[in-house]
Amino acid sequence: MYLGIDVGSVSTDLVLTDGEGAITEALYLKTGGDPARAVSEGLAELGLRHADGEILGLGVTGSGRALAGALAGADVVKNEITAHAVAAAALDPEIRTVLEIGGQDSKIILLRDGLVFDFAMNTVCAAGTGSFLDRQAQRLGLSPEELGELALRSRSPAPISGRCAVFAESDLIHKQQAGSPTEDLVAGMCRALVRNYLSNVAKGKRLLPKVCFQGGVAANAGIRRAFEEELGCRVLVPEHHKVMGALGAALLAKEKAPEKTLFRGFGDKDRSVRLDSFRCRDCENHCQVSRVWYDGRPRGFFADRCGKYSSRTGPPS
Amino acid sequence: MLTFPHFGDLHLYGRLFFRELGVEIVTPPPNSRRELSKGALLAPEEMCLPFKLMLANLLSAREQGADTVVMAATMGPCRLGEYGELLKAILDREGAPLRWILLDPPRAIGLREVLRRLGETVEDRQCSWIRLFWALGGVYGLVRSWEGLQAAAARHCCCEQTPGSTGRLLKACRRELEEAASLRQARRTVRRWRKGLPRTGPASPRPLRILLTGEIYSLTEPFANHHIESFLLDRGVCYEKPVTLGWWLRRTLLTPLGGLRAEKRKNPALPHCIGGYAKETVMDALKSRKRGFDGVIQILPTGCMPEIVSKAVFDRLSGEGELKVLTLIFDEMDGEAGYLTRIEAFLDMLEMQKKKNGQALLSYKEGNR
Repeated sequence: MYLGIDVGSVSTDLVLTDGEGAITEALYLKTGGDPARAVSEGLAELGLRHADGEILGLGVTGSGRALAGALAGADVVKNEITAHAVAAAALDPEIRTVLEIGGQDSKIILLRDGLVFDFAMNTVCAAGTGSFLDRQAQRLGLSPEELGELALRSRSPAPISGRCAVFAESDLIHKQQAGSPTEDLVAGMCRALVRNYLSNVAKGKRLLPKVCFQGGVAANAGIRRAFEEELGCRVLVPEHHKVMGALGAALLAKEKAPEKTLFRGFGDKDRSVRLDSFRCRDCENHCQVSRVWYDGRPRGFFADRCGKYSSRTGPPS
Repeated sequence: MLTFPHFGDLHLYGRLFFRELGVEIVTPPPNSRRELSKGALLAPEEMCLPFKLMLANLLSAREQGADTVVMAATMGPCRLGEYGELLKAILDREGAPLRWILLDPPRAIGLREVLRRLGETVEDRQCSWIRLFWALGGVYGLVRSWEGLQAAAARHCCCEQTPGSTGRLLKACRRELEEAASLRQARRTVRRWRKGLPRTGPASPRPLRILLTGEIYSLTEPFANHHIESFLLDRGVCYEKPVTLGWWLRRTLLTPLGGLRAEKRKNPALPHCIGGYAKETVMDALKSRKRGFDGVIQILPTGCMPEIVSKAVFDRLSGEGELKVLTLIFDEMDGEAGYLTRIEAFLDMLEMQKKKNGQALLSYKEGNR
């Protein structure tokens, strides 16, 4: 089996795949403020049902990939764009457009023949991402899941500006005070987010079907419908849309097929994990090297440029 | 005492040049977060990153005792050319006046005026014109050889034996240059380090080759581009950076005709000079494909009008599948994760496309940052 871990700003996902690349188990955890904790807890939970020896390779991705790699011993450390693209291409080779909206960033990936052809990420602001939706749901007293369901019931979505999170919010409040029903507000917001995404992230790109929509926000049916209306084609939301990054990482590990994996084992729940850093003064670079402590012992290093520390494996636990 | 704002390795050259003439100078502290916030406090809010950094440099230099600024001004084609005047207005307003010597190109103010202003920089030391020109020639030679060494490093970084050795070589050489006693010694230093690099690049399998282009200040000053060059060096990605200080000197001062000729040259995608070096950026990118480059990385600070226009051209070209371009926009942001993700994804994409075409390829090194 191959393991993939995606450490994002909002969620930490773990995926186990069999030798064929099909998902056998998926975990979706909140990162909170402590990615190291989230990774070790996720591993411990998988460890309840699986033995260390079953894992043939580990791939990590997401903004916390270096950390996860140092902690768990990764065979592949890849950026999330490549990981998402690999996962989508494996799902259906005919997918030519991947829309991905996560907690803090949103990206678009264009695929041709299952290979990345072009991509873009949001540059300026987070108006078109999940954190904005979460915040608005919270303000309206709804859960993020209810938000999508509610949006589907709207007959005439309220016009909301999606240019910027601040504009959108003041528009929303204004329309709310003017008496628009909540479902119209929510549907308007979904449309605003989609328009902002298309004019910002996907600007100047040709979006060809099949279109695949993944990431945490893909759970929101309102956003999906708004995308279908704007693009004029069906938008596919994969069953495991939340963990596609982790799936991609696992597939990359499978592709690499290391002879002997660097994976350090699942560990168990009671081990302490903490991070610190020190400055290496061995050369001009003066890297600020991060160190992962596991059970009171240094286990892995990252953020050194030359690899002097990160190539070193700590004592086995 | 003389001073000048940072611009890549300009402080290296400036120190050696004025030392040769016996003129005392003040080098502002290197660009850093602290310096930047100093500049951002006084600069207009919408102003670009280069301006804020230059303003901070001059303020710090004044605190260290500088009273005169020498600055190249190009009278356009971008507003960077007018920054001298703007900086002066702001510093006067803030009660930190300095004496200004603006070196405009001969085309704008005439050769006689340029020479008069150049003479002003060395007026307290009675040095002869011959000595001045000799030093100018020497410093230009240093610019060429040091930039040549850096370009060679960028060509050969993919075949280094120990990871990071090329980057370390450049750093060690730069440190020696910072301490060099004379121009002659500095040039010897560069020659010596040049021998540490292989003469020829790898033939097969080929590594990825990237063209680095965009706005000149952001390309030249490592702080303004989050040290993208050392990132590429460390990953073993070969790159070429045509826009450098030496390029600017050749184009603007040494061969004014060359600049005119460049303006005449036809550019099918962006036919007119719209300011800055947008036309050149687009031109270099168009030529890069024929020259066997795999992709283009364009760098600009937020709000740089000329480069935004060239980005629009690139968007269209890459939409048509003619070019692969990654645009990185830098501002006061500190976090690097987003940039690294984009660059790595871009490199992955180029590798995938290459492998699809069945070409043997030397993969770039995965990082751990």
